Amino acid sequence: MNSMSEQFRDWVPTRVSWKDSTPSVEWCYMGNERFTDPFFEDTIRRLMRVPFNLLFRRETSIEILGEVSEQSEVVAPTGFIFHMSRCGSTLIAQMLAALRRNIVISEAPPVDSIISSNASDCDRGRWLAWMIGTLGRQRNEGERNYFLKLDSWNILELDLIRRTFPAVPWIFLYRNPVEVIASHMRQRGLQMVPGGPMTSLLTDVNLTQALEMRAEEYCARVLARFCAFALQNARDQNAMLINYDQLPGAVTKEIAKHFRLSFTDAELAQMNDAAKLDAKTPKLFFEPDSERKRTEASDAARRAAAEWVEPIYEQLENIRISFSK
Amino acid sequence: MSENNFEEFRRLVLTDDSLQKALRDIADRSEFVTRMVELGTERGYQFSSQDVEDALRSTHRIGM
Repeated sequence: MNSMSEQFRDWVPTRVSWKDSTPSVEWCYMGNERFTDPFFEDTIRRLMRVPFNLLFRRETSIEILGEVSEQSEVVAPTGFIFHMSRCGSTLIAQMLAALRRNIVISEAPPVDSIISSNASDCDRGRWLAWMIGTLGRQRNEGERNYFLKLDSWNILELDLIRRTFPAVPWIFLYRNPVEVIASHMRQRGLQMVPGGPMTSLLTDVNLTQALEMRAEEYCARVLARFCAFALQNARDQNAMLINYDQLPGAVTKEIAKHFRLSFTDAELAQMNDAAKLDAKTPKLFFEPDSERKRTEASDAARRAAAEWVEPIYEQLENIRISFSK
Repeated sequence: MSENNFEEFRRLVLTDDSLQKALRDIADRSEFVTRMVELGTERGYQFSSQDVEDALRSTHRIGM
């Protein structure tokens, strides 16, 4: 019988499902495909167009994930990308994914499913190491760097991630809060829906109050929690704060230095080409939209940003600027 | 009977690397269905193209 790493060599975990607090893992065949789409889910959706993947998926216990991870040649994480949402993190991921030597996993549901589960810290840490290890297997020649862009709310579980990967540098990306709120008001992320997954985060309001609250205020309060948590940990020796306004240049300068990366001229050209495209819709060219977002922001968005997020944003900026000197 | 045969063959494919190799890179749906039936028949499993189509449709419907 082949080892688990052999049996699952070309398969990737796509989903964690739970039955009575016991996780199981769903896998799909990926072959030599790379994660190059803006989000993990986009790549999985693309794979699911192949008839084989519609009929043949595997489901295993999470212990099998552990065996696969421990028996495989894995690339250790090079850097984690945390963010407040709608602030350029997909651009960073797409620029890094432009190079074949980089494995880039962007907002993978199976990673979040473990991080956000109710399991004990011990189990979550062990399963997270297995999941991140398995997604970071060297499936193509030359892959030697590995980046994980997490979901915006995963910053709240930074302690778990740091305990599991204590030596891995991380960045927290943020943006002018009026622009972020304006983006969510155009199309709200799930984390910004009252009654959704972040409801318990706002400990000073109950569900009724959350549902009655203006959308802009709810959004601002959630963003404030993400940013406040990053602020508390901003002096961590593995941390670096990055403002959206520093992009795309920071990817090949500040972030590269923090993640201990260097690039050839040809690689820089590839990354800069990727930066010219709209990160979330790579068929379109990127167009700067900060001014448009600020112009279209409602008065309510401006007030909510000023009351809840801007004081924290200013503190993040002060630390970032003091560290860059 | 045909359905049982189909499910048994489906389980066999998941444990047989050579069958997986024969099927996994086929992008065209009708070619895939034909090949499934051929490979099943070669190994003594009786099921129809319709069984394969139904299975493809049902997995598609649940958003996978």
